Amino acid sequence: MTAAATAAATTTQGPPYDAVVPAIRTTGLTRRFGSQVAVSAVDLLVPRGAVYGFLGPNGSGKTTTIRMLLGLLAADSGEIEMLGQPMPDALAQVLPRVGALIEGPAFHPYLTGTANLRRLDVSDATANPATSKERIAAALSRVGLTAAAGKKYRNYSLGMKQRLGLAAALLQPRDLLVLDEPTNGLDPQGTREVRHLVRELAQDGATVLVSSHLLAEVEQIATHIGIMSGGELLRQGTLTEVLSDGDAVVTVTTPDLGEALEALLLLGLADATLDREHQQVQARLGEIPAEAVAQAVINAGARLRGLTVERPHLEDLFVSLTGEGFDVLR
Amino acid sequence: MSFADLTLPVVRPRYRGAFWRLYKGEVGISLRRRRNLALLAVLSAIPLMIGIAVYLSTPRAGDGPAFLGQITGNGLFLVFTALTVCIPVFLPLVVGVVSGDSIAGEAGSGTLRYLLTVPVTRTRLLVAKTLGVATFTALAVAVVAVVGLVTGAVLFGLGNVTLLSGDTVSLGTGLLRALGVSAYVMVALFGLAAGGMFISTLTENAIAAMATTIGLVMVSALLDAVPQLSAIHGVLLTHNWLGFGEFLRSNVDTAAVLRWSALHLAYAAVFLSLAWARLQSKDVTS
Amino acid sequence: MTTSPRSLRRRAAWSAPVLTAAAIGAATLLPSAASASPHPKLPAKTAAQLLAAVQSSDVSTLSGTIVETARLGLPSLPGTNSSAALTWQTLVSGTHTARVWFNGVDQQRLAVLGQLSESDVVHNGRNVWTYASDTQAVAHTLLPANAEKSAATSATKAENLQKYTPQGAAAAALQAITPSTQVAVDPTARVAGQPAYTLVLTPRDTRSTVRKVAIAIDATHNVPLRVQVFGAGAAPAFETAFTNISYQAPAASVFAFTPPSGAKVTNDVLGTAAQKKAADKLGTKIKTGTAKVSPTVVGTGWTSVLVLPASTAGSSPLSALTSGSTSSKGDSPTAVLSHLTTTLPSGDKLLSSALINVLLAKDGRVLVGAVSPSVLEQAAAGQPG
Ligand SMILES: Nc1ncnc2c1ncn2[C@@H]1O[C@H](COP(=O)(O)OP(=O)(O)O)[C@@H](O)[C@H]1O
Ligand SMILES: [Mg+2]
Repeated sequence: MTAAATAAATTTQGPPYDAVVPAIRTTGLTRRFGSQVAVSAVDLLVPRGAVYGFLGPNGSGKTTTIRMLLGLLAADSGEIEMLGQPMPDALAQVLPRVGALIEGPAFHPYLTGTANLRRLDVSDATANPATSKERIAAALSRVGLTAAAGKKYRNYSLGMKQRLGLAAALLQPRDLLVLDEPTNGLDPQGTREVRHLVRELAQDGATVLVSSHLLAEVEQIATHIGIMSGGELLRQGTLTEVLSDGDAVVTVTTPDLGEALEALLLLGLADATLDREHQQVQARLGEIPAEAVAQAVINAGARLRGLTVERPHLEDLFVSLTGEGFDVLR
Repeated sequence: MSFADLTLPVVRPRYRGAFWRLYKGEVGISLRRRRNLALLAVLSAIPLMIGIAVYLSTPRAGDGPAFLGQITGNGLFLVFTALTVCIPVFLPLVVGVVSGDSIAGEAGSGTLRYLLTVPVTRTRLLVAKTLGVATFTALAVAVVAVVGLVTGAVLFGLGNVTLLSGDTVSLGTGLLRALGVSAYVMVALFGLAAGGMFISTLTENAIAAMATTIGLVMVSALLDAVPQLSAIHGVLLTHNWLGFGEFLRSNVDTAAVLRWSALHLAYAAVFLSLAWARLQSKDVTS
Repeated sequence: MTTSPRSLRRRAAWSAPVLTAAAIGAATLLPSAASASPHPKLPAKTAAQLLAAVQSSDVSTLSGTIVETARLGLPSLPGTNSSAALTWQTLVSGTHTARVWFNGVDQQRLAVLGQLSESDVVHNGRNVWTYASDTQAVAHTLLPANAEKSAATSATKAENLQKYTPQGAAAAALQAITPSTQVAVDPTARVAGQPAYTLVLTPRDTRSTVRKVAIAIDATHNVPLRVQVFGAGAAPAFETAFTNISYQAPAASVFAFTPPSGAKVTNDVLGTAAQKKAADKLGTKIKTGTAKVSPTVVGTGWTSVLVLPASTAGSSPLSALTSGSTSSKGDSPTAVLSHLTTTLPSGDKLLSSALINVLLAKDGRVLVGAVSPSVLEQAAAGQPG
């Protein structure tokens, strides 16, 4: 079969380009809906191999950004580059290497899970028709849907639907996965499986962009983070980079409060406070390593009974950036 | 960092026959939908019911729809009667449902965004959808014709065919002419199907698209019935739908048939280019 | 705001349907424009020359499509869904298409086309067949052998006679009509793809509703291709024209008619004893006065008025129309009439159209003419029944 001959070159052989080429890079990406700016001058940078947590409250513009990345929405201005190629011009070359889950799964209710996947697979010009069956079965088993493969989609539970959406994204080997709220509707068990799946994919060398408004789950898997709010990308970088923006706080427990406070101030720590009741001195750690603080306190002659460093939680940062409260911003 | 000096990105090879698979997938899906099967069932019931009715009560010449009186003499006429009965309402209904649903249905259920990110380029998708709708349209006409032929043959037998002009031709020629009639009806419906596809790109509400498409037929038929508008009658979408009668005359005016067919195809071309333009610029937000 | 790439791309896509429509428009308009213009450059001809040419035309074979269109502008009838009313409506406003084939005096065929029906008249030698697909009724008339012969000989005689003096005949005809009619020739028409002269007859009497009559005549074959009668409107109130024509002899199979098997065939032989009997019966009927009184004509030329006496009018198409509508609609004939007509101060009723006016006099007479209503009223007053 001639198809098989062409297929020989199909499988990707390792990372095809320099690691410095980001999987996704946008510059000044902007999209309006009427007078509302849904995405405003976003410069997204997703390095290759990263698990990028794309965070933001509801309505912050995550899905709109993702739709523009995938060529579903036209941008008003700005540029997009995916896997090193301009989008949406190179859409036909880029998207076969991208698996996507966009704002929840969508399938034909009157078809079975398998038939739905087959429909997408036959639509893919770069999918080998000879291996279609195996790939569909593999994708289904990877998301734990093998048992329900023969059921009509309309009879699926919310979680099963979500899993089928993930299976569709995994029909082919992907270099990039764009998963918009992948754990929506999943039970805790399912959520854990998705986390596991994302880690697995990343280990296989894929880049993963996971959008979510659930911070805890992203914090556990992400290497990189971007925080959207009101259409703007407020923070972006590696997880530690982003978190260090909110300073860690060092707490020294000692009966010799005066000496300790003096030592901290001498080290140049900011916002030092005294807590006589608990015999504690607190200050923002900044760039100073914790062991240097311990040394300084002891050198000052204070009796060091305890020292804790508390890094801020992603959630605190998130709330401080995007605002408190339950309301959708716009 | 300059991007020019990087290794060329991997381009995945395409497998041959990809478009054929896409098209087959389209047709397969339309044939697996229970709604569509029900439509075909209704269509096939029409010649069946006419045949049985004629069998039970022999109508006289001139009664009822055209050709009804000739069915008892020759079952082939059931094909023509059934098509005459189906073309004003039932066939447009089926075509309206399938074409109106084609893009809007996928947009409404969200499957459009997953097809486009497979990726299926928008042009390819439109061409595949168009061929899918055209296939279903042709199938719908064929169902009426074939069920009519079989029912007619079983109940009344087949024989030489008396044309509208009073001349008689052999059964073989008659069957060829029935083929011509069916082909013409298919072509006539393509214009409507294309209109439905264009309407389907305008909305995410499939029901609205179907209703509008069927409305298109009704408006055209209405305008066609207003004598004061006789100047534009010739170019109305539905005006020449009954032109298949030309195949049943002794001297078929081929030029007229080609002219009418060209009009249907011109409608199809304009509607499809509109659909293409709309789909190209469409924001897929569902 | 400057135009974003998004809106640019969108605008570019919409040029596709514009171009498609333009291409289709060009494809349909260009050939017809090419055939319509420039106007054929025909040598100037006088009306007399034109008529003479028509009379001396030796075309005996042709086939083509004739389309007849009437735009009489009658008010639409109530209950047009009833078949009777529809027939009436299509007669006075609508288009009819027929195909004709001629092959000398012995072979002709006429097919009047319905959408899914057809009525045929086939003349082949001594046989005349008529067939109507609606009823599948076949009528066969056998022409008398000698009559055919004599008809043929008389035809050739007449032809010979005409050949001697076509010019003379044309001149005589023109002389007869010039007092009432202005005659002009326009050499710039094209009908059914053929360059044609148009003979334009304009009534001098302005009381006629006929503004002008235009007859287009094929410049090379001298066959009349189109007749248009203009009333008040810009479009002809009545028009019959070839939409395509070929002067080649039609295939012999066109005239070979075999009645479909199983069809009811009514046979008729012209010149038989039975027919003589029927004719005699009619004669006695007329003598005894059971036959209807014949209509009379008042006035001359373009302003002639046909007066149907009260007894004849009872079976006129008009009353047929009213009764036809009645049967299906349930309206009384008077109700239907009042919908169509206007009542004049005199109490007479007027049925007015773009070309023909009909006066329904109180006394039951019906006056018909292509004249203004006042002429009809005058005729009614001057000719009491
Ligand atoms: N098709 C649309 N028309 C109008 N406004 C829209 C449309 N899609 C999204 N928006 C608006 O854009 C903003 C961003 O939405 P979205 O990208 O879906 O947010 P997220 O995915 O972060 O929850 C919201 O305020 C939303 O109302
Ligand atoms: Mg979202």
